[in-house]
Amino acid sequence: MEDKLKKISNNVRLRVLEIVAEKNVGHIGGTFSCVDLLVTLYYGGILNYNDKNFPDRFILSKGHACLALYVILEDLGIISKKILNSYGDDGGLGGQVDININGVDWNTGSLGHALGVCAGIAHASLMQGKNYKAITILGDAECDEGSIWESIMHITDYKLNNVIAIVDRNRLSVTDVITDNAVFKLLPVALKHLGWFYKEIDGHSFQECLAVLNEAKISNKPSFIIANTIKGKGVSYMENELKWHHSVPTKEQLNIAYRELK
Amino acid sequence: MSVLDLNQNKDMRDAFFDEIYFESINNPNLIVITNDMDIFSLRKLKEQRPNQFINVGVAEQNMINIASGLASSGMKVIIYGIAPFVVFRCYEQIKFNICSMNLPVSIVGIGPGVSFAFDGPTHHAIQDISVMNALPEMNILNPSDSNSAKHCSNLILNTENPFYVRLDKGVHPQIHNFDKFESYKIIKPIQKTTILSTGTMVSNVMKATKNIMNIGLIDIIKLKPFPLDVLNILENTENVIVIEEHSKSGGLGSIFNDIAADKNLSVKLNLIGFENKQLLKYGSRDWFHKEAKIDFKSLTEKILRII
Repeated sequence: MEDKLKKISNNVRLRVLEIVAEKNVGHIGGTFSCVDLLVTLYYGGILNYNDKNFPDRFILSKGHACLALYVILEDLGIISKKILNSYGDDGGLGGQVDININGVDWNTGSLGHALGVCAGIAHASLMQGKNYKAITILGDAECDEGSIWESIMHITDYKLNNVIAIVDRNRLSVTDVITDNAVFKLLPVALKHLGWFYKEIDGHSFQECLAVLNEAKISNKPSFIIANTIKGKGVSYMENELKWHHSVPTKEQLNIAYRELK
Repeated sequence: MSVLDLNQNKDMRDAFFDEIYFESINNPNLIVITNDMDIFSLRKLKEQRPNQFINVGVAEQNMINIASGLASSGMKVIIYGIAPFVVFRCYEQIKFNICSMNLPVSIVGIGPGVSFAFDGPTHHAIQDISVMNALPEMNILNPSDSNSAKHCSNLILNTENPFYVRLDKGVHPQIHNFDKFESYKIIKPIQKTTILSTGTMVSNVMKATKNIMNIGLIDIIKLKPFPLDVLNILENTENVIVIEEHSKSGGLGSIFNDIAADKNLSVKLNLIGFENKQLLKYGSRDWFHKEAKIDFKSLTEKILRII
């Protein structure tokens, strides 16, 4: 299973890179850091997206990583090649997640909203007696948003055990390194204290991602998973480099990247 | 002249929320959410049907996000709280998660204008229409009495769009005797000079124009989308006076002005409301009205000067 997922991940990264290079726009760094998480959700049997009546709900809160999601949706046959190829075109797929695209659950692009939305979905799921999951991938810089903390308190108080929050902890915001900030000192302490299913994992280890997400799915607590990741993961010169938040590779850089990903 | 009967009247909040309570009994998918505001007529909902009532605490951003998540899952959601807090504190959440997703969430802002006068500047809602009007999917209702409040409640329960309802508190003179929702009502027949007013300010205007014969008056209950019939009705009117308990920037006056310009309606427009200034002092609602010259005596003088 892990080998299969790794292969898929590399293909997703390659495809993202090809499209960004061709269209000359995109957020490669923060997309590559969460590709393995997205692949685990969609191909690792975690996200029950195919259920006809009550599928799990998934919101990519860090909407700027949308291209990886679109590549996956195309690969799964949920959107067409033509739609995917419209990325970057006027009136085509854009740089944030768009509800008008098949398989997309929620508009994102503004940060800090998705965990609260998941809380609402989780309420509905429990009220309807269905227990489908509300899953989101958040960026780590996004956790500065006060609304996320409001949601954490609410999910705790209302025991919304079907919420699974995954943080893509790549330690780089748009302009800064965020290794030692108060938010990430407090989050583990707070979540453990509040009784969440809290885990820190290597977000590029499929073995760990699968094990912990499967555990989260059956947990009777809300889940918060910090996935330690590398911004730009998979391409040596992009890894942990701030400039790859939204830079586009030159032809020479592209060739190096292809070699490393193939 | 419509009926003014205080005896059979009730608090506008009760008129509105009683309908929500009755609906909650029949509709298990109806859920009410508040940011810790107590409403007398909803206490029974909270006690009898705790699953259909969420107090999110003082956390408005989260309240809107939760509401949108619920609405996207087939639930009908009513939010209420003191107007400025459910509008300004969480505006981006409203714009993005309710409006851009076009979800059936109704936001009930209690205490429009300066009705929470004693609580000061933080509690006034005199720019709320401006910002809600800027959201394309948002519908705006501003009932003027308990009867219209009741029918606004029924409208939002039966419509699958985002709504902002500006709901006054307390007992106000009964103006209407509707048996269904009406988006506007001609209170005094249209004249060369006709007033458009909205919310409980309508009863002030009725008092102010009691002895003025040559003046028309329309109560605008649905501010957005603005009822276009009103433009036809005003075809032979030369002067339109808009009177509202809201800033003159962005309220009913601005909404009407935009539409009149768009439809080439040629009228002289007079806007009466709050100036575009912060209200930083404390006092009663009547005092604020006098300061802004929108109390009924000042209104009478202003109207007489215009006609």
